[in-house]
Amino acid sequence: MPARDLPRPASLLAAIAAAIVASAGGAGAQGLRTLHVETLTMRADRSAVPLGAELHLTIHARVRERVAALDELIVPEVGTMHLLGDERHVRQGPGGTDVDETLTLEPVDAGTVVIPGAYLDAIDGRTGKPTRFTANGVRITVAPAAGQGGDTVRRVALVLLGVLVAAIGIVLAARTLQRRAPPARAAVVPRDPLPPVPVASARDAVRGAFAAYRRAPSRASLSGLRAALFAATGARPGSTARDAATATADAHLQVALRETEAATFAAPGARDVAADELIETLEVWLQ
Amino acid sequence: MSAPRDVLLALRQTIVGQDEVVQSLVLTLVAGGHLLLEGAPGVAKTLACRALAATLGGVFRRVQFTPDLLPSDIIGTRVFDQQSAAFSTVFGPLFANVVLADEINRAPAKVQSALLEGMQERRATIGLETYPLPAPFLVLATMNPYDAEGTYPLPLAQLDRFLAKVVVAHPSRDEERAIVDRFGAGEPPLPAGVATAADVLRWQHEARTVFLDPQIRDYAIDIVRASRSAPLVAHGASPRAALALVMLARARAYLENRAFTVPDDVRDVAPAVLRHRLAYDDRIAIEGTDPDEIVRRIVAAVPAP
Repeated sequence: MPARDLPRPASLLAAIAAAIVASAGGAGAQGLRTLHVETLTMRADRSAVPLGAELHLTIHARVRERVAALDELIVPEVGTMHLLGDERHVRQGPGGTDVDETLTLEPVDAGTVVIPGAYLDAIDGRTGKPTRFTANGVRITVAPAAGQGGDTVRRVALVLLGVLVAAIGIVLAARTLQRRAPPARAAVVPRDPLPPVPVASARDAVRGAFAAYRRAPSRASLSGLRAALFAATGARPGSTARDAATATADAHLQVALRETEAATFAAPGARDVAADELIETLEVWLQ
Repeated sequence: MSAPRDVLLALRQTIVGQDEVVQSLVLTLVAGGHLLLEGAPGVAKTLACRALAATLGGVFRRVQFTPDLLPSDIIGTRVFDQQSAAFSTVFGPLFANVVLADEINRAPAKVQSALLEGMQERRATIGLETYPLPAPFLVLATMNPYDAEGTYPLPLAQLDRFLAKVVVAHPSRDEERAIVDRFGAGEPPLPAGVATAADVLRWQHEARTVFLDPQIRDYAIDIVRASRSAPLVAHGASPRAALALVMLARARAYLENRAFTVPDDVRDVAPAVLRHRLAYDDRIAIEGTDPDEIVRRIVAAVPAP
């Protein structure tokens, strides 16, 4: 099977790019390479191409350093185009290194395709700062293939016919159902509807946790009471007391939160006093 | 006997806005650490430091760091006295209660090291003799993030010596109006004699006794550990950061007249403790991510007890 017949969508290109990014990412964790990037350009050999034809996208990078490879060079996403080939050539010379990467692409949709510029991340040798060097983008116009206009007309006609058949089918089905539907008065109405299920309010949850704490004061029951108070304010789990106090306008609840923090985090000898104050506040709040 | 809140209020009468800066100054003082202030020129970094020194009434020295500064310029040196035919010791500006190291990144590494050694050891060696630095001893260092040309960035190991770093932002429009009104006719007198050196030493002692529940301790440790695996962070904070977090959390509780710390104490001071202790991946500059945003994400990702 010829290579060009293999299904090689743009996602493959993205996968290649991701792999390169991943390898560059590993290097990135240790720091980017310092490079003097002198050139980074991108061009297509054809700016207009019919469907089914090939085009070549060439990325050229030149760095002042002599490098064996330029893994930092990230090729761009090419949209829906099929990637038929990808070749990279590295040439070292006395004045630096030239890298040419040529992508062979086949457009699959008519219209205008804008390909963003390839890029590479490095420490700029001139400034010493991390920099993203980006090539120019490329715009390609993809024309419909010859004879595709007639195909389009046929395709549109078939779609319209399908829509018409479906609409007739829906109308017929609706009429049939209307005839079979029982009269409205036959609808079943429960004589004794179920009573509404009581939903525990946040205050009820605090009441329950407070009762548990009063029955058996302990670190665990205090922790349960604190969690119920936080939940009563609507604060999400993992919030602090200030988050919770900000989330509510209830002054009593804000005081209770402050006292809960004291009862929870104060030195062991001072917790009882704070707990007594908390009990007084909550008794008022829960009345 | 005065309280840290008195110093806070006195500073707020002088400094317009900059609540985080003012609070950080007082917290660092109470915690017995040193503070790094970063901000553009003209945002009252130096004024804030001078005002703090004035409230304490101790000895205040300011050193403008320049590329030609020598360690002896800040520590002191031995000079030969011709009359007595003997060497005598001249103490440098490091021997003060409050030392303002202005633009610390403009001096070479050997001067920075001399200062930072003094900060850590609280003593300095001149010639063959080692002298203790006065107590309380507080170094306030400023850095300008712009004009990076010709500066000597402090390495992480040295930044770690600062208990906290605060970023001094530009004031709001209303604050700027108040600055012009307050300082337009000249600088008003700085608040003086609000507290004494003995007061500060007492605060520092009492702040160290603020109760730290094991849950709060673990929360501080979890935040520091989270910084080591955070995205875009190449090197996380050291265990010294956990110590700093706990010290500042205690100071904050003390400032609020509490004898115990709460999770809010840790969460509030965490950005100031972490922001100068993290080394970021190079991608942070490329993506234009604000380092403080990364710190905020780290802190927000750790659930409070």
